[in-house]
Amino acid sequence: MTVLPTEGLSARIAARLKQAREDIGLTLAQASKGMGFENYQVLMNIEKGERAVKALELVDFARLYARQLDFFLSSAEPSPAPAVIWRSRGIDPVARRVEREFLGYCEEYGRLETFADGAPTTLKLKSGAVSGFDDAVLLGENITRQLELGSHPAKALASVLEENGVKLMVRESKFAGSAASTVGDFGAGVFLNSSNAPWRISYDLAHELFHLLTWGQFPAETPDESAGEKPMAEKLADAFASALLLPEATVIKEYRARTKGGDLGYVDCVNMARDFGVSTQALIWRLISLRLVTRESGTKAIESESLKELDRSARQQDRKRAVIEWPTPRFIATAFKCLQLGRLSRGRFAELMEIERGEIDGFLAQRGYNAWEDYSGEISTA
Amino acid sequence: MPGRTIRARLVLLDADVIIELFRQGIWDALVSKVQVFVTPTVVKEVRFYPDPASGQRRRVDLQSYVDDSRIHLLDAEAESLDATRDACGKCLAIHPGELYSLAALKAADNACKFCTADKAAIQALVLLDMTDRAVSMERMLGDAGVGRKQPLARQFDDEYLQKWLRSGAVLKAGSAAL
Repeated sequence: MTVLPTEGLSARIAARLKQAREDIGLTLAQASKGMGFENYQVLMNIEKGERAVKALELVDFARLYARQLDFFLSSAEPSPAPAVIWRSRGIDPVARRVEREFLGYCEEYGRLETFADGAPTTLKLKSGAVSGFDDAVLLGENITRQLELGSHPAKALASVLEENGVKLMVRESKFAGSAASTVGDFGAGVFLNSSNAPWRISYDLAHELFHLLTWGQFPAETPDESAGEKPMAEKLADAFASALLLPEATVIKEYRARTKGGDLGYVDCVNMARDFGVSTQALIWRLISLRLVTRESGTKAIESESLKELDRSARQQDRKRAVIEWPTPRFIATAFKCLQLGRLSRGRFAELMEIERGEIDGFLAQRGYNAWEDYSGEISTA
Repeated sequence: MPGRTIRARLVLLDADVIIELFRQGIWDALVSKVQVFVTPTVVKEVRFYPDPASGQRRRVDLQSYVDDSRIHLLDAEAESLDATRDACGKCLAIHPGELYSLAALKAADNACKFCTADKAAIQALVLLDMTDRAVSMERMLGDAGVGRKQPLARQFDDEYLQKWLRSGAVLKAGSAAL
């Protein structure tokens, strides 16, 4: 049966299929291939409303375009997508698809939190106006204290941020870009690319935290890398990340313990950076900003081939260490609670955890949960 | 004819139920006695089951059963998918493929029952006014006269189904009050 795009459900589906495809930057040919259509004209006709879409095809479109069925079917106009700021954006269409998946993840995480606890968890921390580097550094130091991140904040940062309502999504992708942040009805979210080195991921996370804390103070725009100089917000985010991950008092203490009044050897420098979970380059810039080393000797060290070689060799094992477990323990716990409450289906759970349907029980057992046990008991508050 | 069972009962099976039937080694016995329906999404989704003896993955090929007409596909229309989403979407997070199964059930013959152990799917049946279409695996096997090789886990018994149907009724009352 041919359905023309006059009004009603068929016209709505046709228009939204086109929008969803364009949102993730797929051509008609690419999307047709993903759907297994013989040629692109089938999809073109669907989008024009000249060929009715089958319900089963709609299920497949939802997967291909990383959308919920609601998007295609709901009579309500879809809300504009929240802004996503990338630290360094990757190549389309991969980056666009990852961005869509990231927003979808944050939206679903927020919905599960609502089912489990009544409302999405939102980031309670806020920042005052940040107008310069001193403000950014001060904010970084304050956040380290407020979140009780300890002397080596990189180690605890991801789990503490999750506890404080930041939804973390991790993907391994060469082309997606390094990191991104967003704020919406679901709260705050950060995307991290696990193809990067662990110390880079920690720095990205701290950097993105600055954007979350100052959301609305700066234009919500991804910096144009071809423009040369970084926008001020990016420079401030770097200063904030440095102050957060490398607390002044601990850095000075460890620097003095290692130098004992003399110079800082390259081996000590690399090991110190490894202890803090940051790149050696980031540590040296922090030592420069704290005036513990001169700019001249610091930049010379950064450019030194022997330091680079030492760094590469010393960090080979570190590269294999995951900074953030994926799916994150808090996301799994939230989803499991919804499973227990009967608000999340097992099929959707498997999809969210990126596992096969037959793997659910084993996946949960590995994490100490019994998929079918009834954990409905409660302890009364005093 | 003595010893021959008439395959009059109609039942749509959820993925977990299919996996359990294979795990128990009673899948073929069931499909020989009951008219089994599945949705195309479930055919794609159920690809293996864990062997209880070895713990190894064993392959499942539901498509071959469809090809031989030993089981049958149930389809849904976009309109019924929309109605299903509309009724369940605010209260439950359900996979599009599972919504498709529920939409197909809604459009199917009233005699067709739905066998599932998924709490969310059971509650969805109540939200969709299909409480009477729910059947537990315990009841389904009993009605079909299929014996079990191992005891059924709690989630497949009738008491579990009834508990979550009651919970669905509470959820429905709550969502109506919103």
